[in-house]
Amino acid sequence: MSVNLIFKIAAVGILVTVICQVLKHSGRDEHAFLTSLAGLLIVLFWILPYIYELFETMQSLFAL
Amino acid sequence: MDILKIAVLGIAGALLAILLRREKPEYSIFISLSVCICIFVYIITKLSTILDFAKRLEEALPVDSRYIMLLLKMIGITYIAEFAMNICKDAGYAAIGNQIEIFAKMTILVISIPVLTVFLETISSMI
Repeated sequence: MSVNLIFKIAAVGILVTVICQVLKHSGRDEHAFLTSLAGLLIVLFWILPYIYELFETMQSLFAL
Repeated sequence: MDILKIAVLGIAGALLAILLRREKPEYSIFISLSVCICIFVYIITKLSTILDFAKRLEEALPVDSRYIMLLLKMIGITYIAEFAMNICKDAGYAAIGNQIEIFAKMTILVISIPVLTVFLETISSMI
C-alpha cells in the first residue's frame, strides 16, 4: 500500500535529477527548474492524502 | 516478525534518502516523511490494542474516565508534535521544530489545568 510509495518517490527523484542534469548541461536552466518543480508537485500530491489519513486516524484514535 | 520488516523499511528509506540528498535534498525529506508514515501504519495496530487494554483497565479501576481521556489526548499531542518536530529538524530547520515543541508543551499545560485545580482543591480541603 504505502511501501511502494517510497520507491515511487525515489524513482521520481532520480528521474528528475537526471533530467535536470541533462537540461543544465545543454544550457536550458529554466527547463531544468520547471522539471524539478513538476516532480516536486507530483510527489507532493502523492504524499498529501497519506498525511491527511495519518492525522485523521490520530484524531480518531486519541479523541483529540 | 514485523520488527524485521520495520528495520528493513527504515534502512531502505534512509539509503534512498541519502542517494538523493546531494542533488535534490527536498526528495530526501519526502522519502523520510513517507517512511515515517509507513512505520506509523504499523504503530497504529499496536496502539489500538494498548488503547483497548487501557479502556478495560478504566472500567476496573475507580478512576474518573475524564483523566484517562486527558492522558490519551496528551499522548496524541506529544506524538504528533514529535513527528512534526523531527521532520522539521531533519530538513535542517531546528527553529521551526522547537516552536512546534514549545506549542505542544503549552497545549499540554492548558489541558492539564483542570486536573491541577482539582488537585489543589483536594489538598486545601485536607489541610
